[in-house]
Amino acid sequence: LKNPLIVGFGNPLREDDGIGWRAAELIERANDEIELDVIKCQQLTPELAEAVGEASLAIFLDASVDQPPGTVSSLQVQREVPSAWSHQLSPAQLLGLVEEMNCAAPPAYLITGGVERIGWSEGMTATAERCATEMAAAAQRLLA
Amino acid sequence: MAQRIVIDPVTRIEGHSKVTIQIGDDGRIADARLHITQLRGFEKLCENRPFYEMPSLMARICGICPVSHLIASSKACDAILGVNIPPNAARLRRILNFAQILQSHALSVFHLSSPDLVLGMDSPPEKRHLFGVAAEAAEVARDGIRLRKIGQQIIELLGRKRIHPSWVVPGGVSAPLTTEKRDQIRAMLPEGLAALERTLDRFRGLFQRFPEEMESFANFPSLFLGLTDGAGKPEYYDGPLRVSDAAGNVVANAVRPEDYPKYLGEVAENDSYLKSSYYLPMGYPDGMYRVGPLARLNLVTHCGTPRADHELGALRTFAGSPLLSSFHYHHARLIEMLHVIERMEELLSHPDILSPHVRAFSHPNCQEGVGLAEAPRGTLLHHYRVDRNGLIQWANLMIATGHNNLAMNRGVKQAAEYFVRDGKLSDGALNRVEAVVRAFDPCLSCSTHAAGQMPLRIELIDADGHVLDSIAR
Repeated sequence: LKNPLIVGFGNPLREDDGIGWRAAELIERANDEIELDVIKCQQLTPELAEAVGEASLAIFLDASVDQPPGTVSSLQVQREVPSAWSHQLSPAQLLGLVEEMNCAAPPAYLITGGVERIGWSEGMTATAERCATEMAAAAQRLLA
Repeated sequence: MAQRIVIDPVTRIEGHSKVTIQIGDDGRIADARLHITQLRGFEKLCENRPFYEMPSLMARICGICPVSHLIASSKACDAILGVNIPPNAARLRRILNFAQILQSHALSVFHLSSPDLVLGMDSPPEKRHLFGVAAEAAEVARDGIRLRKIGQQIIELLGRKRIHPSWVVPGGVSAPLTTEKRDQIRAMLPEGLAALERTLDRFRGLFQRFPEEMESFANFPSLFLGLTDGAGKPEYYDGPLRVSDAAGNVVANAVRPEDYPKYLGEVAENDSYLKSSYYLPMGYPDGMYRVGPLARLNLVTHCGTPRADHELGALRTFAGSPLLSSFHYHHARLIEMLHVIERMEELLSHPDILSPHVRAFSHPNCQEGVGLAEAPRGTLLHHYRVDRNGLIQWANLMIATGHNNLAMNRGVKQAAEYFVRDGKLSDGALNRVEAVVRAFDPCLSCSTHAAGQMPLRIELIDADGHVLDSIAR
């Protein structure tokens, strides 16, 4: 049986950039009775292709500096032609790699939270903390 | 008219560099140089920091091989403490180092170099990457990704983090191995061996399709340097240094780490931030030597594990011994991947591997310490001097890429002479010049990588600095 996969990515040493990690932790805590795979990482690398290929549903959680702080955006990820750059992938490129390796990519969503500070420090702003809770709620709706 | 070709940046390596190729008035290659264009400055910024901070601080030099710096730095700190670490701590450090070699070699062979090998040096650059390999040979990409993941998972199981674990500390390691983790690691190893056997079955034939590259990829006599067990097998964590020549003769044997200044010199070049190391008794640049997988296999009679020895025998039957062409670095890496998995299995089977005695405690007893270990790319050396309070007063790091710098430069020139003719630019020729550098798998530290896709731009410039021709990728 395949499990849903939650991937929170970003750098928790860069303040609000850790919002994906925080949202992933909240989702994990809220779903301790169902089978759920949770990965927290700095960036998406080819090594994640295996886990994505084995998932029933993939939800990526990331920080965004391109949307207003505190807002949440959720969109379905479409496969993208992979780039030549394999150090760091987008969710769409990761799905592309999964399919290139002859695996069926699962339905996948990217949930982003708008952040206000990404300086050199641990801990997030109150805005990002609230936003992480909303990101977790958005993920919960997809899981349901 | 004299011309200059610039490849900036060199792609599919760890870090930033560029290559310039000087073409003389007669249209022949006058010179070719590899320039390292980033400066880190770790030797300076660690001054006046407490010595016990060094392992974690120095590991930040790199995100690909932090474990290697962690181990070499901790060994230098062990020497400052003046302790012999518990035997089981050394076993656990060895396993961590083997896992690091496995994941790093997988990155080099599969992510960075397999596009050249599987798709061909002349394949379209827009397809010449790991994803192109996945489309052409999904099993190769899957095995590469799986092998790297196994190495990373072992590092995470031992050190709690895949990147920058802080588990290795002065005096040993911070926590013993649990039964559960040992069993988890052991369960992964057979899958790794199976993936490697599949890869070798395919790659033995692939390698033979590159006779010109074998002929021209840094294929020349040089010295070789690395750790050995003092008898005839490779060493990756401890042991004396050995230097051998291109005929296989041992030039220096049983060199203790603290005696390295008698044997190894460094020079700073005007056109690169990377210093070049050389074998001091032969002077610069005649004392050029190579380190890393190719050198390690050239220094020994055998590996000491059955699968690796079988494959090493096959390579030597095909290519001779010592191996002089740097093209064989790729095959040597695959052999080492077999070897480290076999060695991890041996170590995990040791009756004392779960022993809780994994750390020695002491205050500084010495004011100087040298730590040596074999990193994936070759011999890594950390040398510290501290004051009476244990604050670092001076540090010297000699890294594998610096050891290989003279050979890489000569290799770039050799490949340029072979493949760049009459000053004509062709993508395949330029890729081969880059591929020589790639064969050495230099690590120029990925921490300064630019975000996004790296461009490749090559310019033909005449002696007056005018751009005559350019290609953009």
